[in-house]
Amino acid sequence: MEDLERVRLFRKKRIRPYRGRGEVYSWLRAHHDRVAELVPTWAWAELVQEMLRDGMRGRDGVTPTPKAVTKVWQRVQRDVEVNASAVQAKPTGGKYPSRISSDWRPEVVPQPPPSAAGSGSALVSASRPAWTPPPASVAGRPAYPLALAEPEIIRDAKGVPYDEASQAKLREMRARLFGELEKSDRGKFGP
Amino acid sequence: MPDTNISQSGPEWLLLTTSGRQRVGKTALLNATVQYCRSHGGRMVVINADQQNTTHSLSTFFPDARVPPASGSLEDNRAWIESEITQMVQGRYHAVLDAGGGWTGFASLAEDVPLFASLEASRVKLVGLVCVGTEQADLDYLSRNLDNGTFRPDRMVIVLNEGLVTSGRSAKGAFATVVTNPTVEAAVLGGAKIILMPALSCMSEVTDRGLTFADAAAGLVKPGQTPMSLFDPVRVREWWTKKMPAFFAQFPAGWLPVGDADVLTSVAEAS
Repeated sequence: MEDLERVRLFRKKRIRPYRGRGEVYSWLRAHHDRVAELVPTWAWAELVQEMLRDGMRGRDGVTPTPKAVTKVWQRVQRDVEVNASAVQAKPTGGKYPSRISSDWRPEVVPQPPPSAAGSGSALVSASRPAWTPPPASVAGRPAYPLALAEPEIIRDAKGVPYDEASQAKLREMRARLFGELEKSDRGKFGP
Repeated sequence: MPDTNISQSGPEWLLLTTSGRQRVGKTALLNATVQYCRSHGGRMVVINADQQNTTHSLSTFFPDARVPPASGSLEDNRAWIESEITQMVQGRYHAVLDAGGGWTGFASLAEDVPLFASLEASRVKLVGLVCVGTEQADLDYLSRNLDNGTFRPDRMVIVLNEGLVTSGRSAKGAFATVVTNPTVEAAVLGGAKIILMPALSCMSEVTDRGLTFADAAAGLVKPGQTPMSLFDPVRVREWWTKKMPAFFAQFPAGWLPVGDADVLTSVAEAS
């Protein structure tokens, strides 16, 4: 009698089945937002009672324990989060070809004037500006600074960098061995 | 304490031995080393203390190899190795020792006594050939021995055995972590050499027949054995006459017993 008089915590909802998941999962997934709202203040045992009122059963028709339902809930939360991220990442907008007018034509990019050197292809990428040479060099060196990749700092087992001489010795060792190994691989697999 | 009966001047005697996990190619390496050195005039005694390896043991390839008494315990093996080393010091000759893999009588001896210092004092230079494959466990073994000093001779060669690279895998990818391993690098900075030993794809065809590499390169087999395939002798020839000489050429001078004109005692007398 008490159960009949009790106010329903969950609106009746259509429970959509999920492949590889049981009724408990489906029920929790369908009522996710409401469960998330109640979990901080309600005991799982109470929520399980609500599920049973809705006719939910666990595996093989056995009444699920609150602990088992908690585990299923964790899975539901994870899956809902993953789904939300996927929906957010999905690109929106754009038109399907069937929605494009048959009169549409691509924008024509005017051809650039021929270059003074008279070399190079007349084709220019529509999305990129024409390449401009770097500033004039002085004494044969480019005016822009050259940034060389920093060599890797080789460290000992404790993470302390070796001194310069040791680093040079180890780089030489690595270069020699990797060269031999690459040569061997070329012999086996080709260039 | 140096033995006063041994001259403190004159040539050094080399004791070559290996270290490494089981099945990383230690015996194959020593087999090739002895054959190479002897073909270049080197004279040495082969000491085969590996009691776990029978088909491919050094005794198969070198009938003159010395072996311990059969069915000996680890302690017996250790005592026998000790006596062989003592004979070597007093007989003044080079030797190659295959102690086997894992925890051996030699490893037990090295842990128990200041082996390297004792040998040095007797003008015997230990050359340690550390065989390493592509597995992390190989490096763990090396690290343990270097860290606890069990096997840290002054003359150490870390040998990367290309024959252990699994089929289809690139050698560079397989050995990348080994080459850049901090333990290996520390050893190199401490004076160790690191050399790549080239693979011989038909190695088992040679060793299963108990052939020398020179015989296999010539396509010879022992009476009653099936002939090798058409191309295996070509492979062996390429490996034995080009790749392995290039491998041994990377050993520092004086680390291999080749061209021994200075051995004071005949090796035959030591037998």
